[in-house]
Formats: sequence, C-alpha cells, structure tokens
Amino acid sequence: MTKNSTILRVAWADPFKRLIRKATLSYKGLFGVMNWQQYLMVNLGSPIMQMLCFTLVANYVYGYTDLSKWLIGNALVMTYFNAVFGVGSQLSAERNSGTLKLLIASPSDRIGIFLPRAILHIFDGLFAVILGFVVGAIFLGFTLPLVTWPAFLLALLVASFSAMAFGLIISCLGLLSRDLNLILNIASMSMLGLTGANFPIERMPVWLQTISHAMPLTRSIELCRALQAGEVLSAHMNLLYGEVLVGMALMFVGVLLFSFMEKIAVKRGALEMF
Amino acid sequence: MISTFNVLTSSAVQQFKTSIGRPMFRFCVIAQPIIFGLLLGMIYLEKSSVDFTLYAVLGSGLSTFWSSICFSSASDIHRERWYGTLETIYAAPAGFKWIVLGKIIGNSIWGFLSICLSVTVVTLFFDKSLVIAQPLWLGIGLSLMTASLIAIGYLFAALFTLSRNARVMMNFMEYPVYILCGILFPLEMLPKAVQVLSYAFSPTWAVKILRFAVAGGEVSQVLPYVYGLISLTLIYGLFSVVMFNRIDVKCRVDATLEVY
Amino acid sequence: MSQSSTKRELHIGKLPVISVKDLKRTYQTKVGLLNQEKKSVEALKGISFEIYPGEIFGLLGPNGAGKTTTIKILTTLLAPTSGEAKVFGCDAFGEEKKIRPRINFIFGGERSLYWRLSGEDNLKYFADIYKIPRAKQPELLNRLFDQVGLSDVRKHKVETYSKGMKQRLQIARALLNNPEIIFLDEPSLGLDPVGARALKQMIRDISAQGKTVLLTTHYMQEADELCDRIAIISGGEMVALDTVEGLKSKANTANASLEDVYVQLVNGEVAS
Repeated sequence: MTKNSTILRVAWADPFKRLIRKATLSYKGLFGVMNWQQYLMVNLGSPIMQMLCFTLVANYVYGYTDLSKWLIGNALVMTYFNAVFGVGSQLSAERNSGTLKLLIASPSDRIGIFLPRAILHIFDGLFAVILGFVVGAIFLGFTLPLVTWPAFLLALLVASFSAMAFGLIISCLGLLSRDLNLILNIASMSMLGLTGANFPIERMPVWLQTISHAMPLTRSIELCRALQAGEVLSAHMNLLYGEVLVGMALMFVGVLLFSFMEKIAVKRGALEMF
Repeated sequence: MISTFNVLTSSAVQQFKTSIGRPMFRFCVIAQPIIFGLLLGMIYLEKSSVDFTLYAVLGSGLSTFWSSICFSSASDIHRERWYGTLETIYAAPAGFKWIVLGKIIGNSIWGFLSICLSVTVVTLFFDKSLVIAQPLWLGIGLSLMTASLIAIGYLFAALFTLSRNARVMMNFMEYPVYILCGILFPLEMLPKAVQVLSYAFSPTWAVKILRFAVAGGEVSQVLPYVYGLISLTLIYGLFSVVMFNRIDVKCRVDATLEVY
Repeated sequence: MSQSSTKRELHIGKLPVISVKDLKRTYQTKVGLLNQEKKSVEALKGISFEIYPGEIFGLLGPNGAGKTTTIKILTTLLAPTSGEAKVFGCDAFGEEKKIRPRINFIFGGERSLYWRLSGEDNLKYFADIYKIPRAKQPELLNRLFDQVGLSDVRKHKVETYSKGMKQRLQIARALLNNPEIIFLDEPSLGLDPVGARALKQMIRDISAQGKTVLLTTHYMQEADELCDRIAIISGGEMVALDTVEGLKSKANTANASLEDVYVQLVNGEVAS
C-alpha cells in the first residue's frame, strides 16, 4: 500500500524531476568548462558592460533627464545575450559534441527537448536584467517606486520568456549554417536598435518598424518604461499580452522548424547535419 | 634579418587569408561595422555634425577595429590550439613571437579596412554632412592608432597564450574599452577617477587626436596626445616582448601550451 | 628481421642523438568548481633510454602511459619536472634554440594543418616559419609533394583531403627543414590498410635517408615491421627496452608475437 503510493508519487513527480535534471545538465554541459568567475564575466559582466556603454551613449545624446528610459531599454536587451548566445548556440553545441543525434533519436518529444533547454536561461536572463538595474541604481541613479516592483518583475519575466523563444529559433537556424557565430552576433547586436532600446523606433524606415513590432522585447521595453514612469500595469495589459503571444508564437515556430529540419535531414540522409 | 622579415610577411599574409574565412571575424570586420554604423548613426542623428562624424562615423569604425583585435589576437592562439598547429608554430625556429606579430598585423589590416567600411556605410545611409577640419591629422591619428592597436593585440596574444581562458577574457574586454576610451561618447561623461584609468589605454589618446582632426584647433594642443600615444605604444610593445620571453618558459613548465 | 640486427650494429660506438635519464613529469590539475583542489598526476615516473643515429625507435604503451608526454618534452614543447632530456647533447628545456631547427614532429590525427588553406599554402607557410630561404622553396616543395604523392592535389584545400592525404601532407611538412630526427606520435591513427602501408614505406624511406625516427603506435604489427628497438612504458614507468627479437624472447609462450609479449609485459605477467 505504502509502497504503491510511493511509486505513484514518484511517477507523478517524474516529469518534473526529469525536466529539472535535463535543464541543469544541459546547462552544465554548456557552461561546465567555465569556473564561476568566468561565468560571472561572460554571462553577467559583458552584458552589463554593454548596457552601461549604451546607456552612457544615450545619456550624452539625449541629455540627463531621460536616463532611466535608456537604461531600461538596454537592461532588457540583456536577456538577448542569454537567449541568443545561451539558447541559440545550444543545438549547435550539441551537434559539435556529437550528442545531437542521440537527442533526435531519443523518445522524448520535441518540446521535451526544447523546453528544458530554455527554462534555466529564462531565469538566468532575468537575473542578469535585475542585476543590470542594481548596477544602474548604484552608478546611474536609477530608481523604481516600490509599488511597481511586482508588475515590473512580471513584465521582466515575460520579456525573458519571449527572448528565450527567439533563442530557440536562432538555435534551429544555427544548425543550417556553419556560420553560427555570425548569426548569433548579428541577431544580438541588431536588437540594440530593433527593439527601440537606444533610439525612438520612429526613426527607422517603416518596414523596419514592422519587424520591430514583431520582435520580442519591443513591447516589454515600452511597458517597463511606462511602469517606471509611474503608470499602472492594468493600463498596459495589451503590451503584456502581446509579449506573451509573441513568445508563444516564436516557441511554436521554433518547434515546428526543428521538426521540419529533422524530417528533411532524415529524408535526405543528412543526419550528419545534426 | 631577411628571413625574420619573411616570417613576418608570410605569417601576416597567411593570417589575412585564413582569418576572413572565419565567421566570427567576418562578423567583426563586415557585419559589425555596418550594424554599429547604422545603430550609432540613428542614435547620433540629431546631434551636431562634429559629434556625428566623431562618434557615429569614426566611433563605429574604431569600436569595430577594437572588437576585431579582441576577437582575433586573443582567439588566434586558441585557434592554433584547436587546429593542433600551435605546437608546430611554437617549436618553429622562426620564433613564436615573430609568427604571432605577423598574425596580428594580418588581422589589423582587416581591422583598418573595417573602419573604411563603416565610414562608407554611415556616409551613404545618412543624410548628414561630415566634418574633417584637419584631414592630415586624421591620417596621422588613424595610422598611430593602428600601430598602437597592433601593439595591444600583441600584448593580448601574449597574455592569452598563457591562459586557456582566452575566449572568455576577450569577450569581456570589448565594451569596457569602448566606455573607458571615449570611443562612442565623450570621456568627460565618466567620473573623474575613471578618466584617470582611461589614459592607461592608448585608444583614449588616439580618440583625442581624431577629435582634433574633426573639430580642429591649435597643433600645440594635440601634440601631447601624439607623444602620449607613441609612448604608450612603445610600452605595450616592450611589455609584450617581456611576456613572450616568459611564455617560452612558463607554458612548458605548466603544460598549458595545448588543450589536452 | 635480420635487417634490424644489422642496423643495430650501426650505432655501436656512436653517440646517442637522444638521451633520457630518470625523466619525470608531473601535471597539476584542479578539481572542483568552487573550492578548487590541486591534484598532481605523475605522467612520467622516471624513465631512461638512449636513441642512436639512424634508428627507428618505437615507444609503445597503453593510453596514458606517458608516450606523448615524452615526445612533447623531447620536441621542446614541455618542460621536464626533473631528470634529463637531451637531444643532440642539448637540453630540451633551455637549449631549445639549438634543437628546433634540426628536428620535426607529427602528432597523429588530422589536426596540425590549416584546413582552410591549400596543401601548397600550408607548406609555404611552414617553410617560411622554418626559415627556408624563399629561393629554395619552389624546388623543395616540388620534391616533397612528389615524395608524398600529393603533387596533383597541392592546390586543393586541405579540408577536401582524405585522412591519409592529410597525414602525408603532415609528413611533407615535417620534412621541410630536413630534420635529423623526426618524432611521430601515432602517425597511423585512423588510417586504412592502404594508407597505413604507404605510411610505413614513407617511414622506411625517411630512415633510409639516415634520419632518426621516434615512433609511437598502438599497432603492434607496425612496430614489429618498422622498429629497430622498442621501449614499452606503462603508467609512466619503463617496462621493457630491447630489440623486437629480444622482446619476443621474453614471452612465456612459444612463437609469441610482439602483441603477445606486449600484453604480458603491460599486465605484468612476465618480468622485463
């Protein structure tokens, strides 16, 4: 009786345990070569430096009054670092270590492969952004009213989620190309402009503005700026929902793309591509 | 002497040919000047022509040059490890330090070309007039800066030969230098204490010379920066040579020459 | 096999080109993520041997025995922790400038070449860094490409080469400076029988030119056919050092092959 229920409980908890283990192991496999100082430098140090740099640029260009607006933009763009370089390079890293074919041949469904990989990065990205704000508060006098913290945090979580979803797509595209680094860097650098983090979106040509609105983060940056300016979340729910939708759509496209590429690879006998 | 010169040119040519085949380097010298040029152009769109020329046009080029140094000089040693050729070039009679210097020069030619690319992109894309008050000094500034970046690259290569974590380090060196050296915004935006640190990096001095070339002024104002830049470059060079001599012993004692 | 005994006669009375005495090498590694713990691994626990001019000397042993460490020390790539490693009577650590122009080496596998360059560009580059005068290079390259049978593909990129072709290009590279000693660390790794046979012939040719060869391999047949003398090391210690015939006579079974005696020696089933 007790034995049975234990088994039941274990079985019930299994998917979660598997998820957590998959997430931590895939994360370790990728960053295991680094020690924690390096981890701090790569995952936090350089994104924060980028944030400081562009905030200072904006500070000079637009004057002191608008500082937090640009800090918010550049802090949120940091989630792309994790998304693009962390999640985006994952499948290629698996391929390089020869483990991708094992993943493909495994009985897990595609979401089961994908999701765990992204989940830790969501929190990693979130952590980076929050640290960015702390740095901003210490060095650039950034302030955020206490009442807006919960809403702000929610907005950041959603932003990080949709950035990760974007990372999954990059990850698939990375498999098609030998120039993974080229794709990763172009993707990450373009975000500095495309999301409206550093200059008003209206300065771009109309077609680029359209792309900008289909990208993750554009809405979140707008939302966070509004929240920081003292507006309430309920007035901007459309931005929050919009971001969630963008994230889910990207996630869907990512999984679809991966299955599609897998089929093509098997059909053409190009499994070495993986 | 002649054979050492042959080693230098041969290594530079080899590097010039191979490095552009690398995605990351292609990003640094082709994509980044374009993206940075457009990005900074957009940001500096409504500032004065001097600011636009200095930071959007030259700044994007300079920062790109710096990135290409970060992502080549450091990682080239790492890459030789990866190819398994590090042992061969290390034990070659030509002397490891000459081979590496050749590589840095080869990369820097690309870095310089990337400045040209970003200048072209920004001038073509934006309807802003560029100002160059002293074209001669622009030439002087750019040449001195190139020499100095070669020296820094060389120093980095030395430091990174000793470390297996070259890639990690160089990733981190990119933005702090943009910030510290006033490449993308005036140095004066930084706190005074930080500005002192800035002068330890030669790009800071180079930017001052470029600023003079763009905005104009008295020659006597720019000369201290010229002397400063030259001295720093020499110091970097000297330091690199010392490092390379140290490497010769250290990496064999510590067995850090190769990855396995 | 009479060939090996006549060759052995050759070096009697000659000075060794390589002399290794009580050579030790310890590696420091760090274990753990946060509280890093230093751990030392003894790769070589004090080995000694001498190699004479013109010999093909085999260095055999299981993975991790210390073969590559030995080669790295002798090729001036690694400092010994203690003991003596002399090449041409010069210290491998400290007098490397005198050694480097006179030796060359190949580490097995497909690495150690620039895949994005053509075979010719590779050799040109290495010729320059081995300070071969430019005027002499064209003729030298022609001869080497001929010797390793890659003349028709010399303009092709190395990434299009097969494993065997890459290995041959490596040999050409190693011959650029006309070295007196060539170190070959598992040169036949991953080669097909035809490629392996071609490689063996090339090693014999190199030896016939009077060059000394230090070879490591895991293929006993290859060692048997090529080597004049063989040292077997295991766990960083010398287990045996003798001619092929001498080694075979140590076996506890009749008509033992080199592989039999190797396995017995490494497992400690027979005394060396």
